[in-house]
Amino acid sequence: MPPPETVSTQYAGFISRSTAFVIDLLLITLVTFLATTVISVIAQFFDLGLTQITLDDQTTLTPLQALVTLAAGLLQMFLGLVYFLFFWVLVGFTPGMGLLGIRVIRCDQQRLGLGRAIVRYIGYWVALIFLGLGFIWILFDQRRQGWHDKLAGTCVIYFDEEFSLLRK
Amino acid sequence: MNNRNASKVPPKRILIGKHHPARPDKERVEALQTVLRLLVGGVLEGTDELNRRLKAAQAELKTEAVTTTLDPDETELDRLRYALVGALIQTPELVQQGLATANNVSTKATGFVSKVAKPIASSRLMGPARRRYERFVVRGEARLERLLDLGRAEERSGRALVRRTTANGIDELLDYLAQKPEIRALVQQQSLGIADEMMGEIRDRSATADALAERIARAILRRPQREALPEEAASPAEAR
Repeated sequence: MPPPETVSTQYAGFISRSTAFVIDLLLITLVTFLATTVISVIAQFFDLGLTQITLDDQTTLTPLQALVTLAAGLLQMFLGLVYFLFFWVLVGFTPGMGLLGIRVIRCDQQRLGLGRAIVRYIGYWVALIFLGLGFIWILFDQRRQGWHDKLAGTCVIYFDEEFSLLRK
Repeated sequence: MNNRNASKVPPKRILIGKHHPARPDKERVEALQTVLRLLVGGVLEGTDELNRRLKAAQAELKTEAVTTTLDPDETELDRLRYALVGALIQTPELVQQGLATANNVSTKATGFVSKVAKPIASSRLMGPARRRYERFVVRGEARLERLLDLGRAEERSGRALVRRTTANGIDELLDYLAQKPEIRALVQQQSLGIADEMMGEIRDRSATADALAERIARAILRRPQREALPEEAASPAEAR
């Protein structure tokens, strides 16, 4: 049995990447929750009918509530898109990835452009639609690439030695 | 000429005794009392703290085995020094024994003198002197009681004053230190250092978990284990 790989191995594996992804999702959800709360408070302040109506022990949503819920969902999707594109293209890693010491690059050792970033983001959904098989693929791929990586031609690598909180 | 005129000026009078104008007023006396209170409290609290620490240190030392070995290169000067140290350590014990002996002797002497002097002291002739003496003793005892009460109260307030002063002083010192940019930078650097260390630990563990997860997944699907990752992954420095 080969010895366990350490940080010196370059391609980042499934656990690091999924942990980073969960952290990013939590951040996006938190921001969405805060934004939705602020919108709800403003709407209630102006009495825009966000109070719940209870009929026959069943809670129903007012049209405006339904609208706010839908807007929250769309906001989260939009925020996710902006969040990932912004960090992949401009920084090279999302906050979650930064925390785990990994970054995303093109496999030909170049920085990620906006086009590839958009393809990669769409690839996320493709990988997800097939019961997450596209993400599980990372476990078996030679270069630890998921479907989204294959689609966009990207790789995720460790960059532990180059990252420090003390660095300005 | 000037010197001659100057000599005619009457010398300045120096007031001494009860006519001195620099008599301390009430505020000065109170300030002095506060300082004294602080000093007394400081000495007592400091002594208590020192005693506590010394006892703790001594208890620690007692747990360690103390062995005395003879040094073959011991000189006469060393022997003299050891003798002096031994005598110094034994002095309190000797003084205590001496004091106990002196107390015994004193009690016996007082008893003997009282027995001898009793007929004279209780005679009618000595009545006025005895009554005056007794009044003097009563007054002395009352004064002593007042001093004792004052001492008890002052010791308590002195200790309280010292505790409060030191507590406030420490707070002020901490505030002062917190405002110093150098100290803040140092603390910040330390915190970031710890955070960096934690990050490194998390990353190491996650990297190990990556390899482990892969091995398990490949074993479940009966796929061959990975020998090694491709060497030629992009270096992050170049990717930037």
